[in-house]
Amino acid sequence: MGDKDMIRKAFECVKAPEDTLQRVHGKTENRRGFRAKKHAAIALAAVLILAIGSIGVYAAKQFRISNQFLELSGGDVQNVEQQGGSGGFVISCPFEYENPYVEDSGKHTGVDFPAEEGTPVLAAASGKVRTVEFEPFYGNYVIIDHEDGYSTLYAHLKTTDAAAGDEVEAGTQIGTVGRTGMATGFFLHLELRLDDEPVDPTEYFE
Amino acid sequence: MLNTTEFNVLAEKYKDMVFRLAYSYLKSQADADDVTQNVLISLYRTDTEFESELHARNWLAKVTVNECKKLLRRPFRRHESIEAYADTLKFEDKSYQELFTAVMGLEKSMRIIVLLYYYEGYRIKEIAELTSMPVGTVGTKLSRARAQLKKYLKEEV
Repeated sequence: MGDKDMIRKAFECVKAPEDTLQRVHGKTENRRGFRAKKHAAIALAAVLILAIGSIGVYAAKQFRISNQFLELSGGDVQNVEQQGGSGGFVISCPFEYENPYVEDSGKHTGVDFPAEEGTPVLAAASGKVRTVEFEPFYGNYVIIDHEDGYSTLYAHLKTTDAAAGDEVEAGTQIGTVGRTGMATGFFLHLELRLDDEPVDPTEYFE
Repeated sequence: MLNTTEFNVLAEKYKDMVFRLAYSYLKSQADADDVTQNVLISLYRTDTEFESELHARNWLAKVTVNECKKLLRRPFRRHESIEAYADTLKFEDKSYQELFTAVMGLEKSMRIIVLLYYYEGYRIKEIAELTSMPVGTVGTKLSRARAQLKKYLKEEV
């Protein structure tokens, strides 16, 4: 007898338990159930993530800016409301307006609100001042970073009353209306940006 | 995936091979039983298209070795008496029980090599692939195992 036969004789009685297959079948059925449950769980998780995500988007859309960004006298506000302005203010140049008389003017990245020279400009929402600078186009301008990637920019200011790094509450004065930079009159150019992409601020007024 | 009939045929035919290899590797009935269950469940669920029964057999041997290795990495292992198990087996002759005990007394890589080589008839190169060991190592371990089993084995192979 060869070695192979001897080893075979020594090990041939080592066998899987009689009920091995029954138990495997029991488990595979369970596994199929488990798989179905797993798929259901994955689907449920996906739905939940989507739901939470859309709530997040909804919440982001819920970001609001105050229309109290210009300290006008009560009479003025009354006046402009009657004129059908937005946020209680007259708009001289709306969002995404393209000047037909200026070549490559590009779309207007903000909204212009005419006001008297020296009218206090207030932070439209609380946040942290990112930039206080002069620039030939915007003139003196201030950028404030808010929550959820939003930021506001206030341009053509006569004076600035904030410094980069300041934490400001909504309603804090950050400057006064002027016509610095590319401006032909006294107005506030207000921009709202989401992740530094301009969005229409009038849609975000409280 | 295999249909139920195909699965049953393969499982029925190879469950003992799987258990035997697992037992020789792990020295524990309970662990070998776990491995057998896992291997058969993998067979049930695999997307592998088996070209032939031989292909399925090789696949099973490979998966068994892998499952055993996986189990050996576990920090807690069961320790069972080989003799107690041997006493429950019905050997044709007392000498076979001695050979069984002697093989089970080898170190674990030698045990699986001996089983794959002598019992399952795999060649050294194939064993190297199944166990992910170099061919030279398999050869060396096999000849050492043979030397240790000299008393029980007669033939030079």
